[in-house]
Amino acid sequence: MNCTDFLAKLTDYFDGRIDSDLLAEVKQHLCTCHHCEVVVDTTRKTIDIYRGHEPYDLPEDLSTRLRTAIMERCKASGSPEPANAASAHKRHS
Amino acid sequence: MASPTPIADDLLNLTEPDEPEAAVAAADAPHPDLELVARSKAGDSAAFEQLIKQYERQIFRTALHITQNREDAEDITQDVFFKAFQKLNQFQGNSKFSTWLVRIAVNESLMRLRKRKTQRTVSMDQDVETEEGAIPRDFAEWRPNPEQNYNQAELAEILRKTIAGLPPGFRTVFTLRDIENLSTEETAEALGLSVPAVKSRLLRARLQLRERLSRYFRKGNEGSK
Repeated sequence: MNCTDFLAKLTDYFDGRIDSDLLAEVKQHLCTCHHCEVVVDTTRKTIDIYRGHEPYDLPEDLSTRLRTAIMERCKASGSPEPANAASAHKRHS
Repeated sequence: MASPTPIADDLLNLTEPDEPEAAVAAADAPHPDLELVARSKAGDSAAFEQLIKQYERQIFRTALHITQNREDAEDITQDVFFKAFQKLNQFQGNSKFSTWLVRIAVNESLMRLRKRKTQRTVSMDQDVETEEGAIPRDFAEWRPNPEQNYNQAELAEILRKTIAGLPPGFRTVFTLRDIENLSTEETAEALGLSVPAVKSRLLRARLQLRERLSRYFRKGNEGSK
C-alpha cells in the first residue's frame, strides 16, 4: 500500500468500516510512513476539536424567541396540509 | 399564471427516499419521535413544540454553517419548522424525522445563498472539483492538546474562520457528518448525494480543515495566533 492508496481508505479507516485484511495493510503502512501517521493524527484531532468546541451555539433567549415565533406561525396557519396536497397541486397546475 | 408555490417546493422533494439498509436493520423499536409526530399531526401543539426543542439547535447550527450568516440562520430555522409543520402529513416515518428536517434545512440554506447576490458559491456541486486539500502538503506534528493554547473566544474564532473558508459543498458534508454526527448514509440522504460522493467530499473537507488548522496548532507555534 502506498500513500495514495492509504488516503483513499482514510474515511473508511476513521469510520471503522474496513475489513481485517485491508486494516492490516493500513496499519502496516502507518508503521512505515511518518507522513501518513501525522495526517491520521492531525485529521483525528481536527474532527475532535470541532466536535468538542462547536463554534455556533443557539443562546437560550434566541431559542425561546424562535420557538415562540414558529408556534405562532403554525397556529395561524391551522392544521398541516393533507398528505396528498402536493401531488394534487401538481396535477392541477 | 405562475404558481404561488414557494421556490423551496420546486427544489425540495419532501417525500422520503428509502431508508438506508443499516438504519432499517437498527430500527427494531419505533423511534420516540414518531409518537410526537403522530400527536402533532392530530393537532397536539405541545408535541410539535417538543420536536422543535429537540432539533432547533441542530437546525440552527446547520443553517449557520452553510450560510455563515446569523440572521439568515434565524430565518431559516423558523422557515424549516414551519414548512415541516405544513408538510407533516408527507412524513411517513420511512426515515428519521431529524434527517427529514436537516434535508429541509440544507435546501432552505442553499436557496438563501442563491438569493444573496454577493455570494459567489451557491451550490452543493460548485467548487467541489478543486484540487486544494486533496493531497496533504503539511506534515508538521501538532502539540498534544493544541486547542488549549487559545482561550475560548480565540479558539471559536479560529474554528469559524477555518470552516468558513471551505466551499459550501464540503462545509455542509463536514457539518452534518462530523459535527452533527449524522451517519454517512443519513448525510447522503439529507443532501441527495450518493454515499461515495459524501465520502469523497468528507475526506477533502477534513484534509482541508486539517491543513488550515495546522498553522495554529503545529509544534513550535505556541505563541502564534
